[in-house]
Amino acid sequence: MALLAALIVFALIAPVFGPPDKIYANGISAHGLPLPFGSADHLLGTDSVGRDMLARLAYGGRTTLEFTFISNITSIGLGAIVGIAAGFLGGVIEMVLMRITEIFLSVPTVISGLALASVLGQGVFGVVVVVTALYWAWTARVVYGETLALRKRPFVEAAIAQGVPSATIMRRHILPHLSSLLFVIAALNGAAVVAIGAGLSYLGAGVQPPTPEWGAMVNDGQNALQYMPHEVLEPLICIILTVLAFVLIGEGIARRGAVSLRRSWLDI
Amino acid sequence: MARYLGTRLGLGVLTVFCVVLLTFVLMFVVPGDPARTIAGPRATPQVLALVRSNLHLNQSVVAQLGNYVVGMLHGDLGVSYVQDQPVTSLIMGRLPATIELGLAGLFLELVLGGTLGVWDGLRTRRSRALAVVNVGFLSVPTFSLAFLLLLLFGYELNLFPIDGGTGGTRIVLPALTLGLFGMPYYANVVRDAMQETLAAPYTRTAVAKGLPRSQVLRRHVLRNALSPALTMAGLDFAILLSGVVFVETVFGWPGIGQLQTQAFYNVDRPVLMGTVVVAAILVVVATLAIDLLRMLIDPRTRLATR
Amino acid sequence: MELDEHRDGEGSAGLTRRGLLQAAGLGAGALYLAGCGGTSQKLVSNSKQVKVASGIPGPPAVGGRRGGQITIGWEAEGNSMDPVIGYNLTSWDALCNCITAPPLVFGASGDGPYPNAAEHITASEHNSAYTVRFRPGVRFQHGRAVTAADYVYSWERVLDPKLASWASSYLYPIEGAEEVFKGKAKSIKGVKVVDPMTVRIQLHEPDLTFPNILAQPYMAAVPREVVQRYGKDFPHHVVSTGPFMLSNYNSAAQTCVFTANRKYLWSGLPYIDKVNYRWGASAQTELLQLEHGNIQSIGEGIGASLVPQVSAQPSLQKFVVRFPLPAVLWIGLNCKRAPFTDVRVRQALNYAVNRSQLGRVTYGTGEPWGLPFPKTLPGFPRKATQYPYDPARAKSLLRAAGAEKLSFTLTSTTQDPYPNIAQVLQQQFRAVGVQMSIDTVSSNAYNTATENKNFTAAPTEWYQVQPTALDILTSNYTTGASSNYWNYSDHRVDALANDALQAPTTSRSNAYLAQAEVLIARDAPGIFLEALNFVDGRSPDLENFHYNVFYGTYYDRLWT
Repeated sequence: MALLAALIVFALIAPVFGPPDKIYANGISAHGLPLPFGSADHLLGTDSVGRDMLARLAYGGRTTLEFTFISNITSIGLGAIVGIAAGFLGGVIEMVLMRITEIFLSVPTVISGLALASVLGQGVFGVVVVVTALYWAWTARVVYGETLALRKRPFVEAAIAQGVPSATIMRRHILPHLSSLLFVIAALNGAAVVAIGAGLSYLGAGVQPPTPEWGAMVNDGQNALQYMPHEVLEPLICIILTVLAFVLIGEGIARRGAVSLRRSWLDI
Repeated sequence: MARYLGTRLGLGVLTVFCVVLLTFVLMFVVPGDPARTIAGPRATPQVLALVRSNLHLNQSVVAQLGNYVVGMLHGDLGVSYVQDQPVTSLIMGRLPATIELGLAGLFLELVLGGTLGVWDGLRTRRSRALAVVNVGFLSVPTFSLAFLLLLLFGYELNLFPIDGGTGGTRIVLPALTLGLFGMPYYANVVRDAMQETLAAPYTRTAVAKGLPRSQVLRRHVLRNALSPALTMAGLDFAILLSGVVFVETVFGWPGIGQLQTQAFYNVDRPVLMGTVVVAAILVVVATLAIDLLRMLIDPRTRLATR
Repeated sequence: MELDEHRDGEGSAGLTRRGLLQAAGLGAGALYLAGCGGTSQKLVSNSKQVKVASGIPGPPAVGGRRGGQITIGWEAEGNSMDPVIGYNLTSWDALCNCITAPPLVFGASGDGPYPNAAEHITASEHNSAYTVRFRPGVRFQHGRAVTAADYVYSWERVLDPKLASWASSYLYPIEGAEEVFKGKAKSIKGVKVVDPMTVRIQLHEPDLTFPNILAQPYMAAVPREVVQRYGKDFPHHVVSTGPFMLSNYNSAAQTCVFTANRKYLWSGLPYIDKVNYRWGASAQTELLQLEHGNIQSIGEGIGASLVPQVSAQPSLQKFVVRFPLPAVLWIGLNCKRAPFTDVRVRQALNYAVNRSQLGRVTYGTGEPWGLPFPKTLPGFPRKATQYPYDPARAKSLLRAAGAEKLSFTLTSTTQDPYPNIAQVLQQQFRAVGVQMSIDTVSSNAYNTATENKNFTAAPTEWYQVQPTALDILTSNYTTGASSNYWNYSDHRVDALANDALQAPTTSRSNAYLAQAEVLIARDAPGIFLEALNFVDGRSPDLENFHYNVFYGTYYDRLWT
């Protein structure tokens, strides 16, 4: 939680570090190379056109955190609803929903992503919709599998036998058991969402330059991996910290939640 | 059971058809002119027009789709616009290398992720270091990871070929990239499932019965903990088989991913559609296989009990 | 206008992607004519060395060792090995340096063309007809001797409507060629076989540049019997007259092999036994492979984003050679779209660019160049002066045009080095009060946007494939030219282009072209930015390595 707060604060105070798109005359060395980590004027170095990495990272955080949060919530929300409904209700609903899921899993990312983006336009909104469209199916598939297992648990069967409405069972009995799984998925998807966002930028459909964005910064820096690794490492560390924050929050919830008063019977 | 299988297969065909339909329409939404990539930047409007009429690109989207579906039902996936070769032979040419890499990658993912997951699951406290390592591999772009492995093990240490040669060791680095990339997913899922099953009543029962620890682990815990990992593995394999373009380009691996990406950039619609059809079939088969396997492993989800 | 009738489709679609560059063209070559050869060499009689024929056009070819092989790494697969279909860089390299030996060839720096598979060529008095005498004893790679009839067949093949060759329009200056392409005639009326080794080519009108076409790979002979035997598979079994023969094409394994043609018309060449192509690896991997000795050359060269690595890693420097190309990079401006309908705005932006700062983010793949025509053009009497960096002047021009608060959108792609250039320009324009937003789109969307002239400004490149500025002029700047996405039209430029084409001598032709450049520079249908270099990555162990600005590496005369 503290980690996430720190990242958000870092993004919020971005203007302190100066403009993200200013190209500094001294931002490139005499050999035409970016400045490395720890340079006097640019603490985190510069990128390949001579812009301050620190400012770009801070501003990039705004964009990246924004679309990562939103699209994680939307894609997991949709995926969880579909997965639980299909797994719990079964029958025709299950068949239809899971086949739709398969369709979404089969259409190649580049095509569906670009097609959607060309309809929706560029920018954060487009990225959110595309990521949601691409990732809900994956979540649904995993949640569906878990729900199937949960459905046969005694407490669920007991609730069904008592005639508790399906919606209530799904909400009260199934969803809580899935909460830690959903956070795991959120953490796992977090990195992928950033990568998809960067991929879309590369294909001309995501966030547009010079707006900084961590994923795109990693992409841009990959050419410099051998001689100026800071161009990749710095945004990468930011992404890792974000994903880590998700993981830790997920664990925190799991520890606190009633469901996960877990212990291993093996260790008794 | 037979009826269930029949329904699933029938629906599977329907799914593939829907994917074909959807992708076909989407291809026309994405801007691009196949004639331009066939004839090149210096072709005149006159040449472009001729190319279009030679390839029947003047027909309506519906007519083109109709032709495509009819061809597909006859097992004909068309001819590549750019390479002028049958799509089936282009895909078949790439299939062995793709399957080889897919299997090796999946194997390493399962071994690495499974081992870590089981190890972490058995610990009373979760390992923070492991979480960081996991998140690290999760976040590194495949391209960078692949290139770093190539740089370290291929170039600096000279342990593996860097030219995509023909030796048996050439699979190691690309498969390792896939393994490391997939590892965190499996580690997480396996670990969570482990904890779930360790805490489950049937484990208590098994322990109470006085079964030896190893037997409880093998017969009850691992068996149940593998179910979600299996769901992932099946789908993962389908996805690995439809191509992993970054790993393929870094290692010069002749897989389907490159074929598809090139086709995308070249607006080579028949090749693109061909790879999509193959991917769709793989996904349908994989999900069916997963569901069947799950029934086998986890009796609770068996149809009979429903 | 006469010029447009047959020039209308010359070249097309901005030769943008480096990977998609190259294709042939027209243009006023040097006035070479009959038998005027390239560099000639004495027959070497040193018994230890290979005997090499004399009179081989191009760079020195003597003194080599026989044997060995080289491997070239490519990112993309060739689009076709058929001389009339191949156009992307991989195909172009294979066609020019392995598969074909066209009647004429250009010299390494773009001079010529010189006799090659043709022994000599004679122009009629007004350059409206040419007589080509083919060299006796030239054989196809499968052994049969080549005759004039083979050329007639091969040229008709360029015009075959079933093949829809991109090169077809380059033959339109020949009488009756267009009719063949349109399916109205079976044979080209203007091509007559005079004797078994001679043809006479009748053109519609005087054309000084026609011999440049004969120096393009699609004009090389291919044997009818092989084409017919393989049909659709001909590209994978191509046979022509070049120094290396395609012996294995394995699309699935992403490789192909060319083996030495020991019946090559220049006896003694090639030295090496095999040229291997391998494609599908990333540029960064290729650089490692080059350093490691797995490949001997990076086909596409080293792109702008990888060049800094060479600066950072001194051990790499010996692998890198730079060649100035007759090629330019600029931002095309749509002259029929606000705000670029006003010439003052277009000029202002040219003054607003600090080209040397721009040069620092393209790392030697380009150098500052503020004019429309390429920097390196043999014998070009340049009259136009480059746009200097003058922000004050830019501001006053903008003020005069009433466009102090100018904003526009640049339609760009992620193709190297466009993103860097776009972002640096954005900064430089901001300094004179111009807001440029960048709209990055996929390369396919970019092509669609430019072809439909549905853009305001777009970065573009042009790689000439012949030594005359007519190449870029008649494709980009004459009224209605096929790559004139800029809606640029000036009747004086059109007239000068026509004069240059019909001029009796190259120097007269170039004088017209120099005038045309002055007009285009002044009208500024683009923001002229850079002259391009080819940054080649190749093994220093390759001996007698030479590079042709149009064709690429001379594989025939290098040895290891």
